[in-house]
Amino acid sequence: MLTTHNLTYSYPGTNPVFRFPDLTVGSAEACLLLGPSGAGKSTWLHLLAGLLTPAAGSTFLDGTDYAKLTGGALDRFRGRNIGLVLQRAYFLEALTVKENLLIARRSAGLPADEEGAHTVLEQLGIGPLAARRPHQLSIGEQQRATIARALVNHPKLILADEPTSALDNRNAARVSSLLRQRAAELGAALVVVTHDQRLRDDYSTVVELQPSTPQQTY
Amino acid sequence: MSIFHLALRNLLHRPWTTALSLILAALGTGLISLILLLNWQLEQQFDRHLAGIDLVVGAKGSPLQLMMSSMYHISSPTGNVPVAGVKPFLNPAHPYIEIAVPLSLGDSYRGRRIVGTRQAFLDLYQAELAQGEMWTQPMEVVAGATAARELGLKIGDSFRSSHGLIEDDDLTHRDAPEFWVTGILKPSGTVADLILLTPAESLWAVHDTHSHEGEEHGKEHVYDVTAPLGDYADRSITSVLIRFRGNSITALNMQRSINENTEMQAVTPTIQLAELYATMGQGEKILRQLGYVVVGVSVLSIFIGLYSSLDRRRGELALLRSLGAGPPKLFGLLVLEGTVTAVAGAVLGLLVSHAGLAIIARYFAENYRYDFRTLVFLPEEWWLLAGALVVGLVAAAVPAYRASRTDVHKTLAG
Repeated sequence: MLTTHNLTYSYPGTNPVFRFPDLTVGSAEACLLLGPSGAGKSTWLHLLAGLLTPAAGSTFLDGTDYAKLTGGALDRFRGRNIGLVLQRAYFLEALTVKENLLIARRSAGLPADEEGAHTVLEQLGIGPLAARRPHQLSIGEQQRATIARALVNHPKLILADEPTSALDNRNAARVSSLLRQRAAELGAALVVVTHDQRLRDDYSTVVELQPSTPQQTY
Repeated sequence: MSIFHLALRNLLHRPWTTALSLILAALGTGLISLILLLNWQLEQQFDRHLAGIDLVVGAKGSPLQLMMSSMYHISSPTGNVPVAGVKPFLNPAHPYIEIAVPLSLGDSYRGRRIVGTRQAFLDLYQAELAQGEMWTQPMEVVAGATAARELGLKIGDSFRSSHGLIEDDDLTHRDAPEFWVTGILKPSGTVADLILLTPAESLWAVHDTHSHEGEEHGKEHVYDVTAPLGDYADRSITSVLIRFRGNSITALNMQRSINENTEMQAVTPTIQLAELYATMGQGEKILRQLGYVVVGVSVLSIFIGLYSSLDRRRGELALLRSLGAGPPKLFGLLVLEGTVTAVAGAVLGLLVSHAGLAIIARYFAENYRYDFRTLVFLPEEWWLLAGALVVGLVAAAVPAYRASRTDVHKTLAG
């Protein structure tokens, strides 16, 4: 269960302060944050991911306010509890798809789980590609591999940044449904940030960010 | 899938850059280590065969050549000296001289040198018979352990010598009497292992037949190999090895006196060796500095390899951060990549230098009959490995610091 309260952020050296609406997403629930480019969506997502430290406010995940964590503790918390699906499909290019999943467990300090990694890849329909290098996969397959990586640590929160923007309709629908399905199965809260209107109907909770919503006060 | 494993995979992922850095590190380490090894081996060999010899007396010529031919049985002798001239040194009652060993050089059997001498040779090198007996008359041979093994000589075998020090059928003394093997020495770890010993008279006997051929057939010299060599005042030998009783002032005085007052020269081996080392030291220094330069280039190559990979790997590094790996882990990843390259290169270099030493050792064994130990690992080589670790660290420090400062938000949002 994710709850945020009075979350604000300002970029170092600049005045504008982004204020973000309070958010509550329960376990196995999904929430869509919809808004045009430049509305501060990525900033919001990175705050939720603990990649940025908010100027003020709190982000609680199952009782832990990880906005207060710093350094190694925050890195560990993120690795274990938050699964990230990024806008661009980043991989460790020297490793195979499956090894990319294993390094995710390792980075979070979790024991290796080859079987678990294989199961996740199978569930996402890319089991046969486990031994391939990431660059040998199609864009759609790469996006599914990043979802697999986000799931492999059984996180409590899954964050997805524009997971479908690079995909055609068929793949977009497939990726979106896979995300919701797997998150629900894991009992994880799912937050998807996108400008992709195609996804709107899939989600019961939609928060629309207008360009004015992250109020910029001068 | 540990950080170490990931570092290895990253290195293999850019094989050419890694190979270049590896080769440079190997080249630098190999060069330095080969110099260390050769230096050590040569000094070992030279010092081992010093055998407490204070003075070498022989014909005038190059002092180094006299020492090399008489003590190490490398290169050719400087010429002969009359026995009359060295007679005083061969007198066992000489007040300053503990041991004097006469040497007659110049003949060989299948590349092994035949050394005409006296029993004193065995005393000087503390050589003992393993089998058979000491010679009792000319043409009898006591073979050094290594020489006997490699030539396949057994007690009772006979052979004809050849003139000179190289293996050449045309130079065989065909009309000369044959040598007989009467004894074989125990291995002593000295030059005594490498040569064939015989009474000094044997060489005269061989050359007697030469010069007297066709003229005075049948007139044979009769030699007594136990008599003092000084009795043959009209004969000549190559040189005398001398060990003094007591202090070195005597040695210096006697050396000066011989060099100034006689047609012979006297050489102090320790001084000659010191000069030789100093000469080798110059070349060694230059090669060693070349080694350091190559090591410097390898540092640069590792640095450039890592630094240039940073731009391409920015996304990967940000990803690792987002997966829970802290800045120290990213720092460690790049440092590992640098040190693994440097240390692997150094290990490769050490392997190559030892292989090189083995090849050089074979050359030395074939040409000079010297045995090198190729399976030594010098303490300095541990230092080379430790040095490689430092090299890797230094080369990786700046790229690793930059990697650890990766701005995750900017990189992933961009």
